[in-house]
Amino acid sequence: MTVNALEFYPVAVLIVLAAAVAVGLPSLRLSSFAGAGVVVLIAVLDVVSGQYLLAAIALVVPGVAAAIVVRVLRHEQYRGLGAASSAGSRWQVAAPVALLTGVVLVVTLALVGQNWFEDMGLHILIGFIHPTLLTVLFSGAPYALAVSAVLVVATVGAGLVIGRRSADEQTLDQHLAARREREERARRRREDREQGRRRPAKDES
Amino acid sequence: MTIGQGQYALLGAVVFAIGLYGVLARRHPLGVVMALGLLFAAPVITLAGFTNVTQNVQQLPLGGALSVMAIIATTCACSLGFALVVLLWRRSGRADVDALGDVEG
Repeated sequence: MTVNALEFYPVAVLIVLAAAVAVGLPSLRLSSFAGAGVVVLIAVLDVVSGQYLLAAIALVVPGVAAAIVVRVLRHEQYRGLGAASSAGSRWQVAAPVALLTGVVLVVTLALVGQNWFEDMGLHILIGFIHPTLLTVLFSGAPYALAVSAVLVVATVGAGLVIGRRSADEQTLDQHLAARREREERARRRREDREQGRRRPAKDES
Repeated sequence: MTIGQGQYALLGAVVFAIGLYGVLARRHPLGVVMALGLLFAAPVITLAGFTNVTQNVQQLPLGGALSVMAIIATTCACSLGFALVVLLWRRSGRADVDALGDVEG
């Protein structure tokens, strides 16, 4: 399938702009919106390239992970973590390194041009049916699917091990919650007493 | 004018450089994880372009298969990074990559 330049370049420019905004803004909230924009735009690029299944995967997989992250950050304990912001304070070091890396990559890729790939006749592996991404994942490149599955299982396991609260932390949280509740009750009692004192004074007047 | 794998690779290179800037410049660990995701998205873009390398209809979409693996690997890496940031926050109460040195095992 050929890709139209009029469709590719606007999406490419938007991806670069969204990526620049995602790393440049000091507000973490706005940066994350720009980051989500990059994910959506990459999916759009896949659609423009005629790879609809890849576009769906590029949206769904990061989307599920983002939903879990948002859910965790909404927890009272981690509200401060999501609300914090930091500007790129080390730009003096980062900018030249990134610029140099970018220039080296772009110059190398521009020199290589379009001569990246030779057709090695790999289609013989799965016969002469029209190959789709699903066919390739299950028959042509099963290792990619197997490695992906192992990665997902390992990540879920490691995430649960890293993210779980220890027994000490749970006890500490319970103590803190009980203390907050006691303080709240004491405050309410104090307010009730003060209101009780004011009421007879009003009645007398 | 049609687009080939070279244009995809150039776009990937620019996104990689922007992601690298974010990883080096950001101080908030969540910002670093996000920039890391951006950096890892660059190969996904390049691989997506490699699926369209020839006009041959019999061409295997191996670039697409590798893209799927790269997307999943990127998401897994960022998820683990987020889990570590949460752990750092619980241990030190600070959201700063400089706080990593203060955390004791």
